[in-house]
Amino acid sequence: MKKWNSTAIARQKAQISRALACKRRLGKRYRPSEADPLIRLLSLNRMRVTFYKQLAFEPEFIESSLQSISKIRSFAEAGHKIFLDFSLTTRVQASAVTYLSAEIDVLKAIYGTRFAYCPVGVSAAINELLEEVGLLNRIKGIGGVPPRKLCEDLVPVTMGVDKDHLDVILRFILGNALKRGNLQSTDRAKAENLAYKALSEAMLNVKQHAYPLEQPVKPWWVTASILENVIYIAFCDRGLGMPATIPKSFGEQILSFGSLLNRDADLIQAIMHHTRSSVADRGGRGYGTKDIQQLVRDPEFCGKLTVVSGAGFYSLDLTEDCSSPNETGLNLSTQLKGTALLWIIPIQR
Amino acid sequence: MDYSDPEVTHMNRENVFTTPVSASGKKFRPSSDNCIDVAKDFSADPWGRYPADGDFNAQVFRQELLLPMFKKGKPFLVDLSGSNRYGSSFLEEAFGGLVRVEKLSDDKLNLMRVHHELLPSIADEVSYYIEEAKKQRK
Repeated sequence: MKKWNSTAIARQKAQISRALACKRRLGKRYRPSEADPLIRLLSLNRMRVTFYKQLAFEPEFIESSLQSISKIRSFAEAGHKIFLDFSLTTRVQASAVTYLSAEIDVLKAIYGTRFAYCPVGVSAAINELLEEVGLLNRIKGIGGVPPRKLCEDLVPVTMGVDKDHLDVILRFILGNALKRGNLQSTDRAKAENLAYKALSEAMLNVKQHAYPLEQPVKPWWVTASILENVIYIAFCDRGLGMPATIPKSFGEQILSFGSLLNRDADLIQAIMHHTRSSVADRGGRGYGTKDIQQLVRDPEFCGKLTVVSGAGFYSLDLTEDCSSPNETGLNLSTQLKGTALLWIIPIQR
Repeated sequence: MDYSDPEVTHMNRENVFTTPVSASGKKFRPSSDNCIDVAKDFSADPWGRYPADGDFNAQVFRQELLLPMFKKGKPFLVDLSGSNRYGSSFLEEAFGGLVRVEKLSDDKLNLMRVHHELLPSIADEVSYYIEEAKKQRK
């Protein structure tokens, strides 16, 4: 019987890795279940998840982004170590990277999943962004440690409960808005009020509605960045998702059984229009969603809000014409667990 | 119990959030007889509707600061100027709740004036929540 030492195992692993890379290049799909048991023993603890082109929650890229993220989840559930491959990625959007960070935190906590990342082949800009946003520290397993390179244009993705870190985000928004937007004191007060309302209501929604009641910790993740006079604030939770929290009629329950008819985008739009609410039978207030939109609806800002929840995508865009909002809805084939919000606020028009 | 069922979860939430406020452990008193300075007397960072949301929630504010002022039967001012951080949940529960929960009459409500130095829109928002609660009462 051949005795394996560590050098031999490493050599074998490298060989397998090259073989797998070759298979991938040839377009053949690698099937773990069909693999040789020795290969499985030596290497198949590690599965590769590739993020193609743009990791973004935008209509063109959301399906591929969500499919990659859900692959991570299924590999983690099967007990694999996961190699995150960004070598084909050309752009990373705040909302998607926030959700990916949340997914990594949760999978590490639930399954003790180990992640790997290799900067070779990854564009310098993407590598730098992943470092600044705190994703690389998460992969290394030191998620609570601030990134090595702190950037004044970005707040790394941070997990919180209640309204932790709200101050940090508000200071970031107001500090940057003041530096670049020439805000008067009244405008500053208004900006603080609108940003506070949007974020604090989002956090409160998470606490009150997003997770099952008995879940003791109800976390959310947030990040903020500024790029070319536009502020991006991304926020997400991994709860039930907006469409699932709405009480449904009997007919709707029948239609939604087994995802016969996905209407999640319509349900999100109904929530945004205040025609549906998870608290409808308690007065149907729904003022929280109004606050979430007000930050982009205000004539001073005229921004864009995107919401991804369950299997629905919704965007409210006032950047082109502030007086006529452009709404887009999209029913998705892949589910996002929870809700991801992105506010895009121009600070100089 | 299956908590993934939104209806079941919803019913349970309702029970929790309508539980009467217990003593929060903190005592709040207005700094003057005819004025509540919210930032000074309560918090510059009020948040949430219910005690489960945190110490500085709207139910506590309504029951420990607003209601005692109404009981005095004299006109008073609620000055929100010390902070710009008011979410709709807090404002609706604190002021809309005066009609919806406390069932105060219009005569009583007229004793209260709400003011914000820099952002009059916040005072307008308070009036809106009170009016909306009145509509629901009818």
